[in-house]
Amino acid sequence: MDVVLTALGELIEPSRLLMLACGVLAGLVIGVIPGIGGIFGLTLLVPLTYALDPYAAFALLLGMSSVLTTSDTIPAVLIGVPGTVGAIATVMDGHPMAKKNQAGRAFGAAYTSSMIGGVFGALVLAASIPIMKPLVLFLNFGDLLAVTIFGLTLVAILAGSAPVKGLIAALLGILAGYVGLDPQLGTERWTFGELYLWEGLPVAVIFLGLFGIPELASLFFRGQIQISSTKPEPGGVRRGIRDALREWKLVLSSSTIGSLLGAVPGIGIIIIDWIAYARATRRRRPGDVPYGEGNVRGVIAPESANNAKESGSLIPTIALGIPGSVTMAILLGAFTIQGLTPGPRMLTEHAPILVAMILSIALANIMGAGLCLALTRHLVKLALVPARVLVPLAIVFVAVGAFVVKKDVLDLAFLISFGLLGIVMHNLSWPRAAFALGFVLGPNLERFSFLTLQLSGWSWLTQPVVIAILALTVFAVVQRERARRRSVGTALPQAYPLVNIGFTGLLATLAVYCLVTASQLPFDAGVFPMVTSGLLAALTIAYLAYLVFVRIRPQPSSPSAPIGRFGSEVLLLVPAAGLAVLMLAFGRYIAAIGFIIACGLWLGGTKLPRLIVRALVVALVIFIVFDLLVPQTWPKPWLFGF
Amino acid sequence: MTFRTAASLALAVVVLSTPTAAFDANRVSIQVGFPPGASYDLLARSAGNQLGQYLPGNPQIIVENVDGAGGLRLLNLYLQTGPRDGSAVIMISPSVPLDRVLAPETTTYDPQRFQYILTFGNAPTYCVTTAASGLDTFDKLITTPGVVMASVGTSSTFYAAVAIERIFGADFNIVTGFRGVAEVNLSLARGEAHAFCGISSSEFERMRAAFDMHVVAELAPERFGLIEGAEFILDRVQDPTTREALALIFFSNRVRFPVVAHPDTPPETVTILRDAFLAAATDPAFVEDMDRLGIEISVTPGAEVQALVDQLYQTDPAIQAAARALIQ
Repeated sequence: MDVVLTALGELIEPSRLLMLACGVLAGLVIGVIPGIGGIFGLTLLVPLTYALDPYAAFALLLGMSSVLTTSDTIPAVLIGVPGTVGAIATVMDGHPMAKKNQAGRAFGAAYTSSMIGGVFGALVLAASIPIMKPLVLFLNFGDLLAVTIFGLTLVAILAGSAPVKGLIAALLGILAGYVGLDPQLGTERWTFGELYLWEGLPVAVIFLGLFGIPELASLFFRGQIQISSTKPEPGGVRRGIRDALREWKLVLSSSTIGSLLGAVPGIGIIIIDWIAYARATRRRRPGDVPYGEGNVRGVIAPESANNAKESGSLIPTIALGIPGSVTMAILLGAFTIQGLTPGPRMLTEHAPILVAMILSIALANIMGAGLCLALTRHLVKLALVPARVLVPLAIVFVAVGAFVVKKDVLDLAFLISFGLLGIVMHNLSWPRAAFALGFVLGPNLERFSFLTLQLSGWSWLTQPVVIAILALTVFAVVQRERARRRSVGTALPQAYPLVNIGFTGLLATLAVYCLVTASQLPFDAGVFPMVTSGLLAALTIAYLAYLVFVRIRPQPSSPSAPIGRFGSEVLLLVPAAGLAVLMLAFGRYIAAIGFIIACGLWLGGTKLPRLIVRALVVALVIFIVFDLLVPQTWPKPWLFGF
Repeated sequence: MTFRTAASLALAVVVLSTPTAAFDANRVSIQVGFPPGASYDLLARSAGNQLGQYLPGNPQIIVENVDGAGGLRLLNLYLQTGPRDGSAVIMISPSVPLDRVLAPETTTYDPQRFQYILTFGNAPTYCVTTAASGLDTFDKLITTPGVVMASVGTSSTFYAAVAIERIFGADFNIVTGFRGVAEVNLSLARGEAHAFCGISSSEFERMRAAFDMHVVAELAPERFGLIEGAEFILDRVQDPTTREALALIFFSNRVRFPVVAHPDTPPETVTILRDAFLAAATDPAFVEDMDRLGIEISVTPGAEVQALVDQLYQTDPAIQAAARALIQ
């Protein structure tokens, strides 16, 4: 108790609370801008901690990192673009809620869940202090492999009524995850001589393309975020808060998933979110909104889990000095800057600092959620702002956010390419989430398999945790399959059947190419890609045969998918590609200003002086975030500019 | 004061405050080939805090992480498009100078052409074992069958493990595929792996704070003898060719944390950068930061590094071939 009071006494000093507030503000801003994320934020803030004492330093850093997954909900719900990779699962139901005039409700539920999840995670961290070390050492690579296999079965849930498409999308994602140097031998796999690809396809760029661009294209043709033009639902925020409180069991169970799995190095935030989301989808009462169409539980579960994860991931960092992610590695650097050595001494001589860290996380979550709730009334008004205003601005930030990843022309090329893939998958009802899950879990499946077999041989299959997880996996798949069979006949007919056949044919060709090229790799480097591409080839060819020879009903025109919309959405990639070329030719400022003015003039409805002001404000934000706060060297524009 | 006097004074101020022609950058970028949070990154940021005051015109110093492919992405980008005026320098892997010796077929760059500014480190790495494994001596490490030896991909940790296995006929089960030292530490702590070779003293200290470890061997081209009980590995090798080949493999420990300028940087600019970096590396504030971070600093000036690298490439080809054979 003395330790807690000492920590509290140290933390509530005004200068340290100010640091916490600064961290929270920085985190909220960074979370809103798609593509940048926690690494960017910590890189920005760590140098400032050199001159601070440990209490102030960790108040600043943890204040920032604790609330990233609170504010990343804003673009996820409003425009369907995840602010960080931790908000991808939130897009699934959060964005459909915004379309249905329920943005306020989605925000209310999300922030309340985030706050409870964050505080709950901090409590778990506090409670785990005495058992931190055995907790971290409890799971080995065999167990992680079993968790990965379990994670892959979530595809069955994310695929909905299209299991074959889900499986194909997941296999495609897994194959995409194998691009780069293989983890065993360092052999190049589908890198085409590009050093850029040695570390694999960049996650942030791929997800911005796959999820962000299609949603922006769809929003553009919808006209505004809300489908109807009625005013934002009155009392929506309060309703969302009540939803989260009513679903307290879901909030706590998702927070438990977040904090416990967060403590296991190697399991990223994306898989944690999807596990929480999938768990939420297991319950659907009659009359409930289907998942993926705006069910509030689909927002509550991932938002609770991703805020709780932050505390969980601190456990191995504090207990053993072993960072589970790049973000934690940076935080570990901050420990050494402060002269703190992670390990048992954190629990004895540095215990007040550790407790102050836990309090910082809890306070930051409360502050972050409180601030966001206070802003929500204004944010929901964005749902009625015309898409012709919002979309060009969002595209600029998505493009700059993607380009800042490696500042390479390939950042933009992949953004556009995966944007195209996303639009095609979205319109043909191929589950993008299944692709995302495969992309994240595929490399883990390969690496953990090799490590497990090298360290434990086949005896890993006799480990109690492995047996339990695999049994749970089988149970979940069987249960899902039964549910699917019960609902057979409710599946929607295929939209754009000919395009679907063409797309499937393209995938089959790609799979065969991958199979042939993977077979030429050394065994260790090629075995997983070969098996995956073999399965993909078999499935796509079988599905193609089904599409061609078993006639499927063409979908009549409907308001949600009018004929011609698909082509128009693809055409929207042209201005996005134009922006990319402008950025390369003239630099980010001229490109952003030129793009916003050109789009405004093309789409009409805004006077030139107002367009110029809007463009200059965007350029100013880019300058502050990407040049002033974190100075960096940008590639020289091809023609002129800066 | 007449207008003419005022104008002359103003001109004099401008001339005096203008950086020398050999170096006129307003901003200098230290580009690091590794991710934020790594010891490279922390070191670069600390050095960057001091560097500006020692360069003409006191330019702004920024540190950027251009990670990927173990630093090779940065190296290749820099060689292709990096500025030649000293406004950007890079921190690369210490194994880069050795690449043309150990992997001549796949190395496209010439490490002898680089303009070495300085290296911040000259320290051994170590072979460590977990206390739980009972392998408390180097002898036990190489004679106990089935030792699980962790290594990170095909990095220097893998080379060290393979070379020791070949030279001493050890029966290691070398496990590759760990993503980084953090994952290796976790595996050692869990008892899945027993040993790890090629770890720095700062990493080792961090690891030892969390669980009990033994240091059984010191890996370096020359003996340091900083940790009691750690056998100097070259003392165990009798054959002169093998001994020299092993020393060659551990050359990277001699040139840790290298800072490099573009090969086409003018010599006078290189001299300015070398002097400034040397001053920053001995600045008390930097030294204090390094003490706090537990990063051992032992600076080698750029000209000396250049000479060491030249010397490396004059090694007897038979020894170079023996080194390649040891790690293949």
